[in-house]
Amino acid sequence: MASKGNLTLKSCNGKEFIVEEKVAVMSTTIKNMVDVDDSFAQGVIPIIGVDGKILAKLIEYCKEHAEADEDEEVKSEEYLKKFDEKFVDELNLNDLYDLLKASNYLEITKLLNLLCQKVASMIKGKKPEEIRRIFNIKNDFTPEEEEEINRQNPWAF
Amino acid sequence: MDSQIAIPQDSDLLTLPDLPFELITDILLRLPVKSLLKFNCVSKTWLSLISSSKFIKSHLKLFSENKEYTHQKLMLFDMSYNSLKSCSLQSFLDAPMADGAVTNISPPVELPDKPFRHDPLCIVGSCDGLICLDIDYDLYLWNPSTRKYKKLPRTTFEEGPEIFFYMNCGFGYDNSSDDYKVVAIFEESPAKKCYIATQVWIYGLKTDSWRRIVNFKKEVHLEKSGKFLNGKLHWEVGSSVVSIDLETEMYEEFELPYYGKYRFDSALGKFEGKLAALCSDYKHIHLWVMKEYGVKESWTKIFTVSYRIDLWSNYCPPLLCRRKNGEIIVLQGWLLMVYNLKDDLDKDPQVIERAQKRKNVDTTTRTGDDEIHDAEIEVPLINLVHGSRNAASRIDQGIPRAEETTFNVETAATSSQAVDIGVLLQTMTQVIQNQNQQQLQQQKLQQEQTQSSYFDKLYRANAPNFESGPDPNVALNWIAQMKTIFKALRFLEDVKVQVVILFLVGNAENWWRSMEPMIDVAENDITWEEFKEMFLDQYFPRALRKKRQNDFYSLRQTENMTVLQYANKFTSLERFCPKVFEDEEKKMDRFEQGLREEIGCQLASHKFTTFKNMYDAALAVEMRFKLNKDERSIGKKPRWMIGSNQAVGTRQQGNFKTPTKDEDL
Repeated sequence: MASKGNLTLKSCNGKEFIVEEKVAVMSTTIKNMVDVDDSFAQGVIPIIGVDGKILAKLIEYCKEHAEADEDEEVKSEEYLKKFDEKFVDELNLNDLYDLLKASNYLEITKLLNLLCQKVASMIKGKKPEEIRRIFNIKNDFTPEEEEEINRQNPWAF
Repeated sequence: MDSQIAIPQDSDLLTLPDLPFELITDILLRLPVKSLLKFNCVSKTWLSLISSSKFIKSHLKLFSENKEYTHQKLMLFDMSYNSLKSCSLQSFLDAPMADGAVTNISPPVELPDKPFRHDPLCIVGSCDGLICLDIDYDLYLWNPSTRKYKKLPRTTFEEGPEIFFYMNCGFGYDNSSDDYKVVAIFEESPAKKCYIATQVWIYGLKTDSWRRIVNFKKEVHLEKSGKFLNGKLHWEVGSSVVSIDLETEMYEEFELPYYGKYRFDSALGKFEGKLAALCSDYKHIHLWVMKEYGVKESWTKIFTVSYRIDLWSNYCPPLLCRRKNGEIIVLQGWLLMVYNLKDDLDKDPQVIERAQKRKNVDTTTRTGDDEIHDAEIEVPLINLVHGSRNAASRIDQGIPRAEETTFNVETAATSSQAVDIGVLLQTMTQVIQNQNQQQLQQQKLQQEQTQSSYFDKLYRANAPNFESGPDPNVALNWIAQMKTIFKALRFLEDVKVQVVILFLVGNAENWWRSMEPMIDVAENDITWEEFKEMFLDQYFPRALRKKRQNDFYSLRQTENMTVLQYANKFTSLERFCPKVFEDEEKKMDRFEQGLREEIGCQLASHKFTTFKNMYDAALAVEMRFKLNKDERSIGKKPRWMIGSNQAVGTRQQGNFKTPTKDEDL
């Protein structure tokens, strides 16, 4: 049982994390759960589809940002920027993918933006066929149609 | 931020197989335009997403809200190279600016090649990364990010029989109709009338057509294009600002701050998101900001910095912005002046650095991935920006004043007061040396001799030196004096420029040296007329010329002015309007228009072939009036009244004869 002001988050593989409420409510999803149902605030909040490793990462991120929001002097904008950079840099590709989905599900906007930005910077120089592979997209254009589209902006390739 | 994130080595293995579509959208929104255009062909879903207006708007919003200005660009038109240059706003705001920060960018259409005449390109304005250009009198909307452009249709405004017309434009966005609009104000001076009439037309990108709207609030000549802010376009009109709301098409007017006694020129702009007014006296630039939009009392002077007035160009007032560290940057052409706020702003700038060394302009580097953004429409150019959404700017005039000019700010005053013959001769040798090359050695000697003899002639004729000073009339008089002397000494066309430059001293000499690399005087690359043009551009500011032009267009013979006096004034001003000056018919129209009504009436029905004829006729009419008046004063019937009635009756027949004698009536 979490003490007052703390919440317990439980990952899908059974790991429990006790976090301060201000950290947990960085997630809009959790915030909504706590707001509507008091029992969540008292008991354990199950985080479906997110394993312990990823949840730990999420909490690490939210902790830094929640503290920064509270006290700008200790954790300046500059500090947060550095932290964000380091945070995304150290992710391996699997974690990046899982975190992306988890932060989307939990609606942690700041982190989601950061991760999207990271993915964007990774794919911006890719070729269309690589993009299809990455996102598992089927090319539904005929070769002629594709050529026609490409002809409109030849300089972009 | 993205630029600082290293791409992991194994990114090739990146797979994101089943991301929800909204997440994909979120990722795509963060891609630069170039990548988006490339990814159009990924799938039909992607194509329709990327081309949807919702996506385009979100993309624009996301990129323009970037506080680091990563995606915003500054665009400048470099007149001396006839080329557009762009530089990321971020690097502009970083001190010091990195080499290679400025790149060339191709305009949507090839620019006409007309050196020394008029600007081949003028940046009317920018909004959401869309740029409105005036290229050789045609208007274009251009998105440099997608490299797409649209040539606007012409209005149905016709020049008609008026002596001239002039178009002033403004470009902005109307949120209510989600449309980009151009407002064009045509000024015409209808024949026989002495005021400027305006016609205002508005263009909407959605309908791709022009529509005439209510005339401009004030019938005056507007010099600078409209500044877009708060959904309205703003023009400076005398001591007020007149705005037009792009949605309601209503005009509003509010006062400018009181600039004080010495106002050389002023311009409207945007500073940190607010309407700003830039005013220069002869030594400083003052920046005023309207803290609360539309509230006259809220005009606040933000700062004053020292400034050399000869740098001011009417068409492109300097760009001012404030760096994060508080430094004030003034950019004029490619001259970048940095003022440190900690020091007295009234002193000379602490650092003078050029935005870009000319030689280092990298013509091959593309604008890069961090290009200004949005898939349909892109980055902006507004004077005096910083902190505004559409941060970027416009500068027309370029490089001529290079290193030496800058360098000499302090030294000029000491070195060139009393110039003796020795100094001049030295200058001359230098000029010649600069032209060198071994095979020219022989010619050089000859040239030196001829130049010397021409120089001697000029010197004996007391030809004055020219040194730049605060009074632009000095420049005008100097060039006129030189012209007269040349005429008297019967100098040939091809030596005029070669010798006249020897009479430039101090700053003026430095100015010429900076121009020289572009011109080969020995090869007669430059005619006297062209030199004159360049010289006046530099020393007789366009603002003043414009003013003289306005004076010319509004010149009227007043009650106590004789035809002779009027004609003298007319002749002294007409040279500022070459268009009229060169066109005998336009010149006559203008002359007739400015005449007192009773004289003008008499001439109206007659078709004169030359200006001289018309002038003689006007003199004659005046004389007759005088006679009649004398007659009247001794009790006789004013005969000219009968004459004038007849003239009205016979107008159509066009058989009016020059009434040189009373009998003609």
